[in-house]
Amino acid sequence: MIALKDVSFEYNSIERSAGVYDINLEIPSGQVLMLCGASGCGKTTITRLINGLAPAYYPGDLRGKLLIDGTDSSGLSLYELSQKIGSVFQNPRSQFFSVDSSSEIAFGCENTGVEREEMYRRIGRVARDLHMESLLDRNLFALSGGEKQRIACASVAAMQPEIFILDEPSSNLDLRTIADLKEVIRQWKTQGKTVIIAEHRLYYLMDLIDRVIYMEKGRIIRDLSVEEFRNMDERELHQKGLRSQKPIHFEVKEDKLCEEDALRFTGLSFSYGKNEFLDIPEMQIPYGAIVGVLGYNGAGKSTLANVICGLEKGVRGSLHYKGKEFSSKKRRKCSYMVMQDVNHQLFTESVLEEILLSMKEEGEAAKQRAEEILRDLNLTELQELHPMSLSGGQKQRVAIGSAIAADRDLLLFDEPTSGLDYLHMLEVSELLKRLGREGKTVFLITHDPELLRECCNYLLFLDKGRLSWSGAWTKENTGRVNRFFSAE
Amino acid sequence: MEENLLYRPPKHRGLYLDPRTKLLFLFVLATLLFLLHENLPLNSILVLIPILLLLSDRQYRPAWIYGGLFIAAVLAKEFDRRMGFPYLPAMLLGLLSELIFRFFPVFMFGYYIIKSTKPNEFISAMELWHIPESFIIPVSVVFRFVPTLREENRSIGNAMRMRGIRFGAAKFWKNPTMILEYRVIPLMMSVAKIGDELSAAALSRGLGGPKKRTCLLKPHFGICDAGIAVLTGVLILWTLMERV
Amino acid sequence: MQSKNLNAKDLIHVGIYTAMYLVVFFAVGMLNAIPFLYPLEYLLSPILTGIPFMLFLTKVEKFGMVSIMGVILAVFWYLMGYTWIPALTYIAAGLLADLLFRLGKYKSFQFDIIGYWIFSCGMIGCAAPMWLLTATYMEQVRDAMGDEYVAGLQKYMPSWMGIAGIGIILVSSSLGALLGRKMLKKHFERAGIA
Repeated sequence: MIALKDVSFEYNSIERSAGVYDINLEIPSGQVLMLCGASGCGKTTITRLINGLAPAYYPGDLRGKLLIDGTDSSGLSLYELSQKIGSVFQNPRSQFFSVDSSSEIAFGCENTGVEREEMYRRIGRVARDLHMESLLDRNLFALSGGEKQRIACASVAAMQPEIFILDEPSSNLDLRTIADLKEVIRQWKTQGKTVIIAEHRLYYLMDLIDRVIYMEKGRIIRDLSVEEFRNMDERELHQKGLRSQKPIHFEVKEDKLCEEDALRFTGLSFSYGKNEFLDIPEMQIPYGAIVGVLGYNGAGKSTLANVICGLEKGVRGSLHYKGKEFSSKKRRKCSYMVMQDVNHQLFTESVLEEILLSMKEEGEAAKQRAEEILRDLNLTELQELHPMSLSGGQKQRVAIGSAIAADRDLLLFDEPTSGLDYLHMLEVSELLKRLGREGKTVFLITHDPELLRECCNYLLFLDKGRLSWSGAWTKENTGRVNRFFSAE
Repeated sequence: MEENLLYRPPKHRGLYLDPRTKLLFLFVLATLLFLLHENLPLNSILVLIPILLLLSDRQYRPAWIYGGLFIAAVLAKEFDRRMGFPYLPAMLLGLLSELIFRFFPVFMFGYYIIKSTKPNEFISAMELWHIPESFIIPVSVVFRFVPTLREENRSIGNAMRMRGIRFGAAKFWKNPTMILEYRVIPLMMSVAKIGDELSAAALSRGLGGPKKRTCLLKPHFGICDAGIAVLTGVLILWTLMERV
Repeated sequence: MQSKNLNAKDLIHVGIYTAMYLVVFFAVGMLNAIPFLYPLEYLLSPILTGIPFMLFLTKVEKFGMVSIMGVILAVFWYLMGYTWIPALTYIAAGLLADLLFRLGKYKSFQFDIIGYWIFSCGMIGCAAPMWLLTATYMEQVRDAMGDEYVAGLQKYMPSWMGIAGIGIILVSSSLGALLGRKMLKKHFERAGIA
């Protein structure tokens, strides 16, 4: 059992994450609990308080009492806590310590001095429980985000803690791997473990959780049973910045798209490594399309984006834009991609500079247009700040701003809403729609059903490097999308 | 039933050498090459060992390239001795072949070690030698971060190309040091951030606890290690005889 | 957290910044292959590694971290075939630098510059075996080129390069430290990382 009594916590450093105030919470053993709320509501902080990283690793001012199985956790070291509580974090790339998967699963056991034979037993058992025998003895750098996240779960599970804490574990995962993650959590639930999940994607957890805690500005606002939560109106959820708790249903849309094609690919093929390739004999994209690029991890979505942007070498085939052929080099000048990890494309020391860097114009004219763009994106107040000091959603907006400033015709977005709450997702969607209206062709790689529903008017489905189907929201395509998002 | 669940580490490709043997032999090789003086047969043997090991690990390409380079260097040297190259080329060639004779065996053996050994095998070897944790942990982090740096560097390079930041672009001539700043700063930011998150994840899995660490893999000496040991003895004797 | 001993977080930081140092060093160190370019490397390397090193120093509050970095680099150079000379110089430089940083309580920028200079001097060791190596190589050259040439080469190459190196590195490491600090102020502090 975990009990928080009048707990308040504030970070010492200029942490982005918010503090929490007057938290009173009791979590009985075996409960599966979800913490939700808009970005910055303090749900991550609660997870850090329970696993002890705050204040031991993230220094801050802690008041109140935190009891784990009756012992005051302030008297326990991180090492002692680590044997009772297992934590899985948001970013699959940054939480593995080893280079190969089996060592990573063993990592926690090695630290706590588990005997070798016992370690073999545990790895075997965990691999079976989590259905990941095929992931053993693999190079971690070659695994996908979802596979890494499952390794992270396995590594924690091998330590056999009683409590599991997951901080936005699905942020970087696609649908199929979210289903895997769900299966993992279900396993823990049947084993009678306590599971605490801070999450903004709600729907996949609905038939697993027992209880929902809704937070706002560092305080607990509602404490609901899952039945009560399930009956909440979707509109009410969205107002609170929450995503839908039910699976998204897509409907046929009769958007009129231009008859003419803006983009035409012929004989596009590209390969790298042994298994990864792209092979698209023929594909057309109409004018003013906001193309939702769908497919499972490893289907070649990011590769397609890189090829369109002219970032890959050795691509065969041709790409026509508005009737003219565009070579890789030319494409680099007329396209712009906002990458999944925006951290990689923020270069300068302030938001304003970042926008200016993209511009062809100079002097006053540039400054004026930059200010205009910032105003449109609600970034004016932040313009003097360092881009890296912003929150995920704000960084995303800065990157989009620099894409707009570059004034390119082809814009590509790789998972722009991963980790964003409902309101921020809407903001992004509005922006994308505006770009479409301005005559840009927008490609959107996404696993976010709500974003897809909000803004895409054309769809493209890749499967193992091949174009499976493409088109507008016709009856047939809508059915396909519905099936894709409901499949587990 | 339980027995089926047991995990077993996979078998090694090619010859299995204990990581301790590999590390020790690397030291021996580095030392011998330094002491070596104009002895083609001995030098050839030192070159041959990494090549054979590379072949046994199915690293064919580097093995052939390296073997070819060595033969080319030997031929060039021989040619120089008989006919004599002019002044400057002879100087450069001499330096290059010196590089191949003296540095490449170690490079290639190092390459073989890295390709054929898992980082945690090194760690277990070091733990068997009772090397303190304050050395082992940073070293394993270095292993972990070199590929990360490569990955991050690639994405940042892509982002730079997309934004038209490169040598020769108009933006570049306005401020050439920018290119350095844009390349290095995001890389470090990104890595520093990954590092912070990694520390948190490692600490929450008990790294740095008071208990003695155990290790998943258990290195063990075998017949090949004995072979290497004998070989080492012969090589050392040979080198010493030469010196006297 | 307050303890004098290094904890896991400190050790991970040592690993990360050693990796960064090595990668930046190698990006410049492609020049390494040609010994005549050593002076250029003395000039460039410390300037560029100044950025990761100054960032590293913001994480250092205890004695030992810089020394461990020196030891790792030492072993690394040894295994790269550069013999025991750079190994020795790097360990010595790491220890000395660490002592100096401690004198400055890991906060004084003046001590940081001097310490970084000493740390960078470790790289002089990398060139040393090259000279020794050329000395044996000289025997061969002597046959081909004659005594005069060899004498000239020996006179210029080894003796003053090591000493000049210390001077060059003083300039370049000061520049590197300044550059590093500028970048810290400009980027890392404002981004909340340092």
